[in-house]
Amino acid sequence: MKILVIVPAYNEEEAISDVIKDLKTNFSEADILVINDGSRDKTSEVARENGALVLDLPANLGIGGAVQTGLKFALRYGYDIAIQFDGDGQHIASEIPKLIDPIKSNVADAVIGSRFLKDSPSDFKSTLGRRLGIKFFEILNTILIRKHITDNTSGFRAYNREAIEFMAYNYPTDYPEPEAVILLGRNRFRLIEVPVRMKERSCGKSSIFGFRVIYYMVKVTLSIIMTALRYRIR
Amino acid sequence: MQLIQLVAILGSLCYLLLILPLVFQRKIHEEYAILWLFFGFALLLFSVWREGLEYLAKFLGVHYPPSALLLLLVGAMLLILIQFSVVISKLSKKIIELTQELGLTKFELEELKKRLKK
Repeated sequence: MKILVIVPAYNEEEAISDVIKDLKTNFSEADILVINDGSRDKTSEVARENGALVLDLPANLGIGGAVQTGLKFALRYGYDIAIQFDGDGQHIASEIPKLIDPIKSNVADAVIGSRFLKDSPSDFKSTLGRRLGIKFFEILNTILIRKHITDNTSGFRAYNREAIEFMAYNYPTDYPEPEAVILLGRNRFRLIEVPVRMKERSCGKSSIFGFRVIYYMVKVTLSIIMTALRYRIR
Repeated sequence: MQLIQLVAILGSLCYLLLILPLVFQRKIHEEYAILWLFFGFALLLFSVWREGLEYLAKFLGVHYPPSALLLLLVGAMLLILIQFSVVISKLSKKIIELTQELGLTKFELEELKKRLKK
């Protein structure tokens, strides 16, 4: 079984080497593909030195466009499972098996690693404000796809071949995570959540702060509602 | 002829004189020129044809007929701006696809180069 770990990274020269080392030691059966999303620092060089495959995008596309590039790569080179794994050090490689077990046993097409499930061992659960926003998406998405997803903003996900084929051409671009949940649910993919542990990012800060929080909430809500209203494409 | 009608006619002519050469020189593609030209000629028509404008104003419930011209102009701008949003969205989608394809192709090229060197 061919497994690809997609690591989107934008200006992550400080975090990326630990991320790759963690993946190489604790989840060695996968190929690691770092999508360097037009970084202006040494992200690409550092990732190469650490032995990852590196795909450099000539311009910054944002997380959605970067992850989608990885999915296109997975599609093109016949990977059976693609894992989305953040480049900032929030995610833990030894948690990946929990994510891909439901895919291997064919009970799910897409799996989300959640910090908020009841039995989630995650000690890091984000700040209060962010948790409120996440709760809002939980309610909205639960109403719209009648499926209870607690961690809609989690970027720790796994897709099987069918989901890869679909998402390679339909992945949302701007702030994609909550929208991708709706898209998958609406198009009848078997979507489940598993409890995982996450860490606080080791360095850098969230790309969503200040007024962008308002923009993020409005934009994502609009996209979610529109996606739910559109015809199914699968 | 009232002064306002003269101003309207001159205004419409200026508008058309600005747009037509741009279309002629292909600085505006024909598909995007359609709306501009349609409303340019519509404005000119109603500036020249006073009864037509009065009929239009009555139909729309506008008391002062030259205001109907302004309404027409605002409508035109709105439509054209919407068209711009559609075009911009289409373009940004294409740019994203091109960027991704370029990234993938560069990756493949590097791998091929490595293999050739060996």
